[in-house]
Amino acid sequence: MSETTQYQEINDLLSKNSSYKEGFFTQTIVDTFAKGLNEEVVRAISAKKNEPEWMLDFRLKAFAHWKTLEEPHWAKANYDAIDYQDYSYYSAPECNSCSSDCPSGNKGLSMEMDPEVAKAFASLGVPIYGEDSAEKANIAVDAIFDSVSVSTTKRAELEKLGIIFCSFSEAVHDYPELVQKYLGTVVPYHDNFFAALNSAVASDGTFVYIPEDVRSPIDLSTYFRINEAKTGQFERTILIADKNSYVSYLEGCSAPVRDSYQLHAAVVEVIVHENAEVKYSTVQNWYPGDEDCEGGILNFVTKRGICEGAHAKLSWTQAETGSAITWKYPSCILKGDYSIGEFYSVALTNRRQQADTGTKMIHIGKNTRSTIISKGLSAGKSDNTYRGLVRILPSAEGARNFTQCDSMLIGDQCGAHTFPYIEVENATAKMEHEATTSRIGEDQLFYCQQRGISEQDAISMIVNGFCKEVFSELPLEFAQEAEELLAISLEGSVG
Amino acid sequence: MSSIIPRKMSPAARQFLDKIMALSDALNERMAVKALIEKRQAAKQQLLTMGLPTRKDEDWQYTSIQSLLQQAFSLKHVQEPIELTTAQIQTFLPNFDTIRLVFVDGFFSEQLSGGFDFIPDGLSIEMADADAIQTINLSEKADAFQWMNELMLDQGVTIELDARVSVEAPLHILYIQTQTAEVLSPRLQVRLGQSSQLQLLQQYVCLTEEVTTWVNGISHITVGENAQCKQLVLQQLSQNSFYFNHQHFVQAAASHIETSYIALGALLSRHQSVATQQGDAAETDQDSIVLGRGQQVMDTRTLTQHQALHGHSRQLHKLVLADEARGVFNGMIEVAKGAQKTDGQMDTKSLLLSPKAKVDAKPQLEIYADDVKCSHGCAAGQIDEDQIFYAQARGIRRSDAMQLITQAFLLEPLDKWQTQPEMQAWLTKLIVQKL
Repeated sequence: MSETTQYQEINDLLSKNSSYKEGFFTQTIVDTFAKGLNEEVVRAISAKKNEPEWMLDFRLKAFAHWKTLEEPHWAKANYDAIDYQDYSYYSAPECNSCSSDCPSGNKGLSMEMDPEVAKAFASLGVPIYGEDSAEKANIAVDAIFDSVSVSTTKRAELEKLGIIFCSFSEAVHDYPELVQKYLGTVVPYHDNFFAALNSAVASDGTFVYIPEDVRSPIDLSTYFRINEAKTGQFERTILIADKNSYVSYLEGCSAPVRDSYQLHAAVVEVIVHENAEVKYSTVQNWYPGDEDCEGGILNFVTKRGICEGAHAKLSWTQAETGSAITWKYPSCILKGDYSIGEFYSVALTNRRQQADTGTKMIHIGKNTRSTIISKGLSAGKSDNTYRGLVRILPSAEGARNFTQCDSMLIGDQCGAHTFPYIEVENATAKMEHEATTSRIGEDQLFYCQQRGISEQDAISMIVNGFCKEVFSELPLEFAQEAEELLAISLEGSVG
Repeated sequence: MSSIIPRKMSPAARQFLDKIMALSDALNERMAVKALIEKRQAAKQQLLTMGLPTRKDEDWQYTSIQSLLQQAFSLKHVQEPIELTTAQIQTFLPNFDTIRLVFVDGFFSEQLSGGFDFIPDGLSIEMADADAIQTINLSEKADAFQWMNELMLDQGVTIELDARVSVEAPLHILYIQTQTAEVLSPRLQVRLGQSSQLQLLQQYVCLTEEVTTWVNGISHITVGENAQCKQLVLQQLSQNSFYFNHQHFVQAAASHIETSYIALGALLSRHQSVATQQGDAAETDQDSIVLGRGQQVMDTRTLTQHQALHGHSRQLHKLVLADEARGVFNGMIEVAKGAQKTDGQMDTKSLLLSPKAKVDAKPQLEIYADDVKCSHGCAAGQIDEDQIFYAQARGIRRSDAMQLITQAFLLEPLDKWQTQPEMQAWLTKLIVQKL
């Protein structure tokens, strides 16, 4: 296929997907593994990253276990069995992956970055040059392009405070004792099918460590970008907040418009120690596919955090608008007494997207509290499912849970489902669960239109009102981005 | 058939299944009705393929049947019904008029039954051994217990009510178990004609607490256009017994059903109520009162299928769990594509009275239509200390206050019997006795 016809094709796809503005493709020289998955590939990934023995062992153990597992299909989403041999498990822009030549510590410096990759991030609005962005955004960014982290900004500034903010591959080299201590403690490699797969072929990810008594002065952030066709991204993120620390971490993602499904299976582990607080926000905008959601991202994510010490707090906030299929349950294990878990979610599905998302709150410690606010919006011919678990163990004296799941249906071809699991094993616990389903009423639209507000704006307004409780939890710029995303994703969905 | 791979079962499950299959074979010889034998044999094949459920099955995640598998049962080992006097069953009977059908160990007892004067023209009650029960066909989704009912199928009751007939007195069907280790597989088929009205009271009891029994029933109730059916299932089996029941209502347009389940007995019980609204503007009310003590496991399940326009459904489930009792609730509201203007609501509230009591709930919604109002609520907790304090401040002893609060909590679903004070008083008495 010549380059021009390829571009032509991409443009065609783009015009069909006018609502997905992140759908461009970056042309760069890449180092991509041949398709297929076997032990050799796992070893090769490890070798490529110059990984120590223990990391390879971890991968191999996970891979051996993965082979014994069956792909789960219990989620309320229909997808064909995935051919894992049809994906490439490693892809990186050339000049950044010459790990044999440059010492690993040098990675992440923007000067080595492929200009094409830099351009890509610039057009995504991700500030990857620490110096430029200093005044622009008060934020540190780790940018991940396919399988590698290409840039991590503001590291020096953070290092002064003792904060470690680097890519996962670097952490394996530079902080092996920390990685070894925490890797797989919250999400063990045998946890589930996709966690096992991720543990085996983990590409890159972000590693964050906030030392004792430190409040991170700026927000830390990772931007994930899948670029190559038929590759999988398997990032592994570990975030540790030591005693009395605080951090707000943001995550964003996008992928080019493709005509074949791409696979994304990430694992995130968060460890929150005594009195620490972690705020984890995600705006997920993977490519959802064309009108029939052909070729979108298959998003299978395992996110879990543990509130290890007393008074620890972990808060998940997510805005899910992309992906053909979403399978994601950010969870909190509330082990420390008086620890707090929160989950705020907006999930929007349009066209034929299928989202099965929710959370798990496992109450172990005394007087632990959890709040779940989930807003599901379905439009087009999509299915949107909330699936959540609240488990109060016998030890969780005085535990408290409040759950609210609201669904909104836009159009008569979509589905909204709620599957909560509630397990109470302690009498002193109090749990409440509410779920409602509604739609945008014609009278509401009429009311707005009568006052000169266009139908599109009115819908956007009503939807934003519906999601307000969640958006107010997102950091400012993110909240705005999420609102805009919703508006774009919903365009033309109401007739 | 050979292509279907039988499911692997634990040795205990396999043994249990073998034993009840032997009961079924013996029944085939005793009751050699060809159609029934065919049904039982088909059920046997089905059970061998699907096996018995374990906690790995999504629908059985919270309900273990281990305690049942350890038991051995016999089927009609008494050939003749035990003679009981009315005095012996008096404690079970309500103090108001009913059309009463009494079954002792599955045998119809004419002597204990009564109230036949209240049977109006147009109400037919048949206790045919063979033909009536054959007409219930299990759905593809039937679980192992429904197939076990079919496997040991031997008797049933068919009730037909003509159009526009209203039956004044409740139709009371009382099943008394007197023999230990007997399995009872009752089947009930009810057909209500257009604009007819019927009140149905199904009661399951053991003659004494020493009797251990296993009741595994199926009821199919078809409700005609604009007809009304008010049903109450009263499960008062002994504390060591087992109770499984699957009931299915099929509703025509503008029909109205109210079904209540009161669970007071059995070591392991599971009551599944399914309502399918096939006609427009149907109404469905499902309530339950569950009181668990000791080691009891009490499972209540509802499935409400809204398949037509303007459907309406309401549910209120109350669970009180003491000692080490375990309560399980699973409710699903399904709104099919096109079932616009549906209004569905489901509420589950649990009160845990002891530190070791547990409750697992799964209130679910599956919605494929946009112009609907659906909600569910679920809460669990212990008695509010403030409420106890309020009562104590007014000179009520702590224990009395707790009793009072628990009672008020549990009896809420009985409010719908306000128009029948005798029924309400009787049910209140039965429940309060157990508290």
